[in-house]
Amino acid sequence: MSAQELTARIEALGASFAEAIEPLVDEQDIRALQARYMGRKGQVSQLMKQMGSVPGPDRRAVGAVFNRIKQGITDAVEAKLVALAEAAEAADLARVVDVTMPGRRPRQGHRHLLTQVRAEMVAVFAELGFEVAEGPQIETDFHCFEALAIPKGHPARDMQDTFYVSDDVVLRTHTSSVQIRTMLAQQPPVKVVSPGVVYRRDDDPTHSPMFMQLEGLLVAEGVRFSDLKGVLAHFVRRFFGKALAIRFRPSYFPFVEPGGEVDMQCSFCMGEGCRICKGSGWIEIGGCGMVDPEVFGHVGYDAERYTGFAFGMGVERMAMLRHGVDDIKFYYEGDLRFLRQF
Amino acid sequence: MRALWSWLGELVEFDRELGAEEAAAALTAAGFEVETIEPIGQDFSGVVVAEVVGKRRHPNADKLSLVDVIDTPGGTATQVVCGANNVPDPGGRVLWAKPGAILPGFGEISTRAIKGVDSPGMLCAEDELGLGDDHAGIIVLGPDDILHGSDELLGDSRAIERLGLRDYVFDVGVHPNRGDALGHLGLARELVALLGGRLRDIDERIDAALASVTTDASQAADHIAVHIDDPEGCPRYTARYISGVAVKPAPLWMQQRLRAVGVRPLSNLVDVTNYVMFELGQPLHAFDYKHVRGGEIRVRRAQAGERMTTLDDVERTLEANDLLICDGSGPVALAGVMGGADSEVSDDTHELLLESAGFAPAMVRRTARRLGLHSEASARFERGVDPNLAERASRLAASLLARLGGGQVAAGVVDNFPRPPEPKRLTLRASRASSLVGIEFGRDQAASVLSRLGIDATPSPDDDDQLAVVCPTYRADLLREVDLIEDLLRIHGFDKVPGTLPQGQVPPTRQVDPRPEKLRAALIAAGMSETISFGFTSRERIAALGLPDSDRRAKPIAIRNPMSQEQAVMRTSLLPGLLAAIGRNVSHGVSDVALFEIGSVFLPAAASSSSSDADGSLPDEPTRAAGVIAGHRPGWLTTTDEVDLFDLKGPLEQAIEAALPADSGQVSFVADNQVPYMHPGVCARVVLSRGNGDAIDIGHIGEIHPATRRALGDLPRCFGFEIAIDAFPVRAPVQMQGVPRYPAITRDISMLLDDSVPAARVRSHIEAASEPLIEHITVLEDFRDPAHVPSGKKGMLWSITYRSPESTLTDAEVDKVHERLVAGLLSELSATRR
Repeated sequence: MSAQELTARIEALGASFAEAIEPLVDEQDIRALQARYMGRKGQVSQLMKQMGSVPGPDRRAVGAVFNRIKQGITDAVEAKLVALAEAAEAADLARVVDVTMPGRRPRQGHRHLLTQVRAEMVAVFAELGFEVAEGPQIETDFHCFEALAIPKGHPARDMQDTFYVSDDVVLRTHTSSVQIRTMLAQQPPVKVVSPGVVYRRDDDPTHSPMFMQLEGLLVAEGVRFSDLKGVLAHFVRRFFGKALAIRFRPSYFPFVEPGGEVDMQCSFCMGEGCRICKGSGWIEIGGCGMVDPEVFGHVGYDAERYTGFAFGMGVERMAMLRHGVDDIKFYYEGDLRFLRQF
Repeated sequence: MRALWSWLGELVEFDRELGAEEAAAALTAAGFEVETIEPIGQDFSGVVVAEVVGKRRHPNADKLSLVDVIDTPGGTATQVVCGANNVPDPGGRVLWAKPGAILPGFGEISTRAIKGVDSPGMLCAEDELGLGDDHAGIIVLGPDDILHGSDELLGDSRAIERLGLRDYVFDVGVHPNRGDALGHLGLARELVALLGGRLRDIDERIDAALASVTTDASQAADHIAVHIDDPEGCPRYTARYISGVAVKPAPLWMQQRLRAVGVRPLSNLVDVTNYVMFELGQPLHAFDYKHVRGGEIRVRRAQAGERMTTLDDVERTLEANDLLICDGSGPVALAGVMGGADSEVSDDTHELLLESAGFAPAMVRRTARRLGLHSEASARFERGVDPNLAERASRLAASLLARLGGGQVAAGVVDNFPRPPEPKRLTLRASRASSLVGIEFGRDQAASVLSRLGIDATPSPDDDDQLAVVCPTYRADLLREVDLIEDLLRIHGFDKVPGTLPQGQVPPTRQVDPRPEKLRAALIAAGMSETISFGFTSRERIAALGLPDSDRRAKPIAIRNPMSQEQAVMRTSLLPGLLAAIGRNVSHGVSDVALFEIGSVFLPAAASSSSSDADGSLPDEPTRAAGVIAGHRPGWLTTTDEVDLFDLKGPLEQAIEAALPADSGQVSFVADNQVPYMHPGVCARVVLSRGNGDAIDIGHIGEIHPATRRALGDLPRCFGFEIAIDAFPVRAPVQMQGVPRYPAITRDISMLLDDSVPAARVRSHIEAASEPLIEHITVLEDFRDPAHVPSGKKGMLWSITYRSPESTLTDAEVDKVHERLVAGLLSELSATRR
């Protein structure tokens, strides 16, 4: 075959490729087309075999044409693919989604508010080195009352009307029973908080027959009433995140002496007086005092050597003060309309 | 305890003028919380004392009178129209609301014509002044009605105060260890310590009053004999004899004060005993002497089964621990609790036996509680009344009874006092007070505070730190040094103590059980919400589980004194509470429910119990985790399918994985058709296999049985699990496993096999092959379409991931292992390839 003839066929092949690729829009078709021309048995390769018949001196020129056409095919494929990709991206970018439609959400689980508040309370006391101690809810009369200096017939038993299981077994009315268990099990120093549910025969909008308490106990040498004030002041500041004042009023709990009740400045009105604090500017948050020597006697501690303080507060009340829960019953009804708010 | 500001003012001579608010604040700061200060007689004004100087019938109305009154001595008479039928004769004193006066419920009083006659103002009845509910007639003042002073009331601008009609009532919280403060005297003592001033001498006043009404003609002992058989129950009994009394209403001020403190006035005789109780704190009882047979009082224990009728006309059956006051033939009163009906004061009472005694707090308390008889008297005796107070109270009451009842008091008192209380002697170390409180107390400062409370404190001669303290017998709460320190701190002011932080470090000794929180976090992450239910439940809810008697959960621990049947027993399972919550949510319109709870259940102690109580008297309180779901799977925009077992099993698996250390146990699910509260075909037992080869059941998961759903209130289809978590080994910190360095290759097996072969069996066969290259086994399909699968068969597609930790696997290596695995599987499961 003459050089001219072969050259013409090569040029024709190039032109037919250009024509063939023009309408293609699919990468696979383009690659197939490319293979039909450029593959080992493709049309270009077939034509290349004719090079042998071209006279020697012309081969160089024909080879150059081959190379140009092959390069042209490769470039055309690349350009076509780039153009297609650009067109595809442009088309994709033309898509419009209604972004105001709701998101697709997995079911959301919620931690009970009291679990959250209890954990935060524990965390604040943990900063001061208090550890968590727990005990049974069904308790002996000894741990719940006797060892806390509330013998049978003591008027203080009226203060917390008790559910009885038998003469000597009760539903604990406070987690102070855990103080006794803790002290019976170890020697001072003791520094624990005891969160847990307790039971009293009370049922109205502000009382529930079961509720959650957190009690604290520190017994060591040299523990002072002023330390009790300092610890509770620290708690109020950290828990509420505000510098709320606290005040102590003397009160009576048989297992502490001196004993008191703690009020904090109302967190709703900052002490101005509002509906929550009944206009007084103060909200009672718990009872406290120095551990009574009689209690130390029951657990075998030396009341001359060791002193200690104890305090107790309601977890529901803390949750109410922080989150405005206005009926204690919500905590215990499993009502998802309430639970999923927190 | 309700206390009147004017009454306190009678007992205390303050150093300076001070107001009710200031006194209330001081009491509150000292531990006597004044919950409210209620003004009385503050809602009327312009009312004056007037003297009737003439009266005649209204010309136009039979039932009305025209009354001429003056409000200053020798003043000009004014004619007022009055509708009452008790207008006194000239000389009588009444209360006149003049024009311009303000009366509660009437507003401003003016001059207006009544049946054609102008009436400038009106003469007042009790209810019109807001003092009581008596509208039987207008208030007519008698000589006894003047509470304060002896001057002429007419024209006195303070006449209303002097009649005791204007005051402040404090509602004071008194702690149960301070029985001494259940009388005005006790609170007055506190005010003196807090605000300065001194107590007025009550005895002087009482003795003067008593002297004027005592007859020397007879001695009390001529009329009364007292025997105390139980001196522990009755350390002191005093009795007086008063004759010639007449029953009539008590004077206005006494009625007014009693009403203000919350006691309904009855008659002069009964009112006096209540009045003295509120003044001094000593309860008293007046017997109609003629019904005290033989004039004999005997204090003794009741015999079991003995009966008496109390003055509320209820016949009471007594027990051996009840303390009785008896006369010559039988019980006349329940000591310290309530009098008997037979000896009650009545309109024909003319002679009184006045009891003022001391009774043991525990005995009064026991009887009052058992009979449900809680009175002002029992409240005081239960908290302790100083026996030394009895005689003084008797004198005060006798003087008032004679004065207001017109009687004569026989000289002397029968005073049987077998157990005089010993004043408590204590040592107070100023250094101990300082170190306990955290502020410096000097010895002299401590002595001065205690003295102001009436506590005798003298410096110890041979120790410059100590005070020798003698406690008054009315302060039975002072038993130890620390009690004195509390008083010191109380009067000094709790708020004057600064806050400090505890010194010294306390080494940690305990670890929190991490398991509940691991489970909780995983269940929340899986979309379940935490709930907390009451520890008690109803028998019906437990019965809804349909458990056999042999199951410990079928025998809940009962509450002896539940508040309702809904709270009669302690829960033995968390499921009934959670299922009930589904019902409540559905009734609120929330039908897609996924709830869980982690908490204690209460089971009768097992024989070999790990009970937390050494003597084994306490039940077991294992911790359980339980969850329930109902409704639909969360979808997007459209409603999706109803939930099934696997919507609950997934969260449970994740929770177990979070809480259970992989190297110390494994959980498997075994079909179980024997759980009475679960659908027999949709229930699995959850089995925990621990490292050492033992396997224990830790709970169940399943579809709740329709019968249980019905019993709990027609619940929708729902699923539940409950597992014991105490059996889980506590998880050690997770150890990193290394990230694979070479690629994995996955091969699938598609089989046709009997539909009774559970997935767990297929998996365990694959695991049993122990091919070391297998990294992961997943089931991809459980295919039972009858169009493609013969009946009794199912198609399953499993996917096996192979990986070598040492090299990149080739297809040929994997194919070899996989074909070996498949061949074994097909033969062992009698399956065919699909």
